[in-house]
Amino acid sequence: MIRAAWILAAKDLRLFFRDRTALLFAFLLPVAIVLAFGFIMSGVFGEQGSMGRVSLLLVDRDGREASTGLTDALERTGMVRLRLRPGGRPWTVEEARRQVEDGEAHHALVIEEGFAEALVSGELPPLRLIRDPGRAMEDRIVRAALLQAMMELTQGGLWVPVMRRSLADLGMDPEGIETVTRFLRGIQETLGAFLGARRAEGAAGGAEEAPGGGGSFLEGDFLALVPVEMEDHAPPDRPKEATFMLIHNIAGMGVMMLMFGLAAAGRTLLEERDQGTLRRLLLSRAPRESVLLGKFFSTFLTGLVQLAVVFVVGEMVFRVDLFRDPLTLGVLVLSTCLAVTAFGLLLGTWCRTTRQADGLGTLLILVMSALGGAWMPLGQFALPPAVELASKCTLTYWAVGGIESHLWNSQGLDHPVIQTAILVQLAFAVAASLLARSLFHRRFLSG
Amino acid sequence: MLLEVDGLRYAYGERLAVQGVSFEVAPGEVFGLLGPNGAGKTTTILCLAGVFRRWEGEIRWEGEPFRPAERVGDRARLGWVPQELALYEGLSGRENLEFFGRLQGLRGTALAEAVDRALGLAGLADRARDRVRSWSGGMKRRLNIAIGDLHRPGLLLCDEPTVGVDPQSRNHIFDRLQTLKNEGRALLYTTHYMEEAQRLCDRVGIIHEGRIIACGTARELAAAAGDPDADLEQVFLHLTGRHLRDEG
Repeated sequence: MIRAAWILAAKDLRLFFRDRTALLFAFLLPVAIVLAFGFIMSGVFGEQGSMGRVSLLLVDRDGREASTGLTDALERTGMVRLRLRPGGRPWTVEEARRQVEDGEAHHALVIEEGFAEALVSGELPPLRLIRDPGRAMEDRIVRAALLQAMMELTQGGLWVPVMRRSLADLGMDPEGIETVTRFLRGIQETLGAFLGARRAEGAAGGAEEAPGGGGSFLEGDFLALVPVEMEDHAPPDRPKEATFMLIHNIAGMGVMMLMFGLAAAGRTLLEERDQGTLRRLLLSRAPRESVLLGKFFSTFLTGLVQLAVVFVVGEMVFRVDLFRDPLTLGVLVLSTCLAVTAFGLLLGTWCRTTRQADGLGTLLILVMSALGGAWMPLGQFALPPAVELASKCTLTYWAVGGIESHLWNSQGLDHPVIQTAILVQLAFAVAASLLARSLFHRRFLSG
Repeated sequence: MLLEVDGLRYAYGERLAVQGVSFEVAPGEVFGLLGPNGAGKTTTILCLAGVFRRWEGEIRWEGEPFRPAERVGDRARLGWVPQELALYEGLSGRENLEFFGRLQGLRGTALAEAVDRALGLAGLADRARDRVRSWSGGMKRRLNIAIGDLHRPGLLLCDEPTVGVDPQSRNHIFDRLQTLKNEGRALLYTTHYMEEAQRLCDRVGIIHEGRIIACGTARELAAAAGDPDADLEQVFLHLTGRHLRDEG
């Protein structure tokens, strides 16, 4: 029996290794997925696997050495990566505000004039966070980083002005505040001595603090003590129930499933060829290109219905006013469906077998979804430039980004972000359709 | 002549599959292309149907150049019954016929009448609303022919339509083709079954290794083979030899 089993196994292996397509996808697909995820995860979560750094715009209106001290301390927290303008210069307040309003950034730190003097005099340092208040996760990380950096910069002395302000806000009389201040200074000296000794031990032992790990005790109410003024920018019509991750998931999963659906629709061209109906279509009175155009229509309409169902069900379940600007959403959905339809047909005309189309389709969709941010909002993390560039080369980046920017930032058709997303997708749709048409002629009509 | 084929040549890459085939089909005639597997029958029919466009030679329809690959009007003159079942199994028989009828330019009452007639002639009216997936192989074969003839083409190209069919369905298909013949319809029929060619065709061209090596009525071919009583199989073996042929 074993001998017979071996003979059967040998036959299966021989057939498997002779099928080059199966071989390619058996090995290429997992390798490609592993590589894509490896790049993204190392970009998002850092080299040591802790929480990734979130990007933070920097506006330095003080421009003194103390500002550099703060930015260095912020970088050392391992929680944020400061994003300067191309060319390495800090942003202006107006630019930073626009970046946040456009959804290009979620937080910008403004180091106001007088920051250095305030540090010296023991006063509250003038800092401002321009932020999108809906980005709660990033907000906690940025504020935790800021608190940690300020504590380091002031050797723990920040507690005193922070507490004085809080007590004054609560209505305590000046005498009471002075009593508490004396008490706090005692704590500050004790804490400073303790932290200094601990830091010295760490330096002697060569131990490094894990990025992001230092902020773990700065949870909950402690974050409210971060000495920073908030300037919130959120579109007025964004529903309170909407969270960024919810909107992102509606856009990301919607686009990814659309790609799977339409890739399957595109492969029906190969199925029709295999079952002989394609030849029958080509021999009818119908113009031959109408066969491809017919596939385009059916695939496109399938996609429209699919996305419409996603949005309608999403709205019914989550009530986040997805249809507050139906025109913009409609144009985005149309451009996404056009681009993904063209992708599906390109796949159907490029591949020689349905098996190849399945393998290549799965490979491309998973890699594009991972790289393009369909699974997680990569835009909130400071990605390495190569990963960022690769991300922008995917269809998913523009499809998910367009829908997400519209639903989250309420950007309409007049906004450059939306216009770019639409134009890129339309350009892809045209290019991929022309290529699919050429391949259709070459592969299906050129006998 | 309805159709004239003169010096038709077609190559798959380096391999010449059809090497100067010439024959004619008269109006109302059933012309058979008889040959073993790989002889070039299907390639010839695909050139005529316009599936292939890079052929050489001349094809004329009623004396005019015939280019079905490029001209929709030329394609409309042909009906095609392929070797394999070219049907949508997820659609019903009626839906299949309606779909292909529309593609052939039929509309409204003309379409409905053509579909009803085709279903009746194929003996499929009772199951017309069932999905084809649930049909027997023989029923599918009959539908395959019905679709090819739905728009009443000037010439029906039948590419081995009885391959893999049970005797009852084969008989039904033959009756159907015989009816078409009796109606005065022209057919180009390829087969490697000698008795089919003998039973149905007015004239037969024997194709061998991409060339027509003999052409005429069964009687003429038998005489050419030196035995007036020989059937087509004997003629065929006489002309092509008895050794095995490998395709490809």
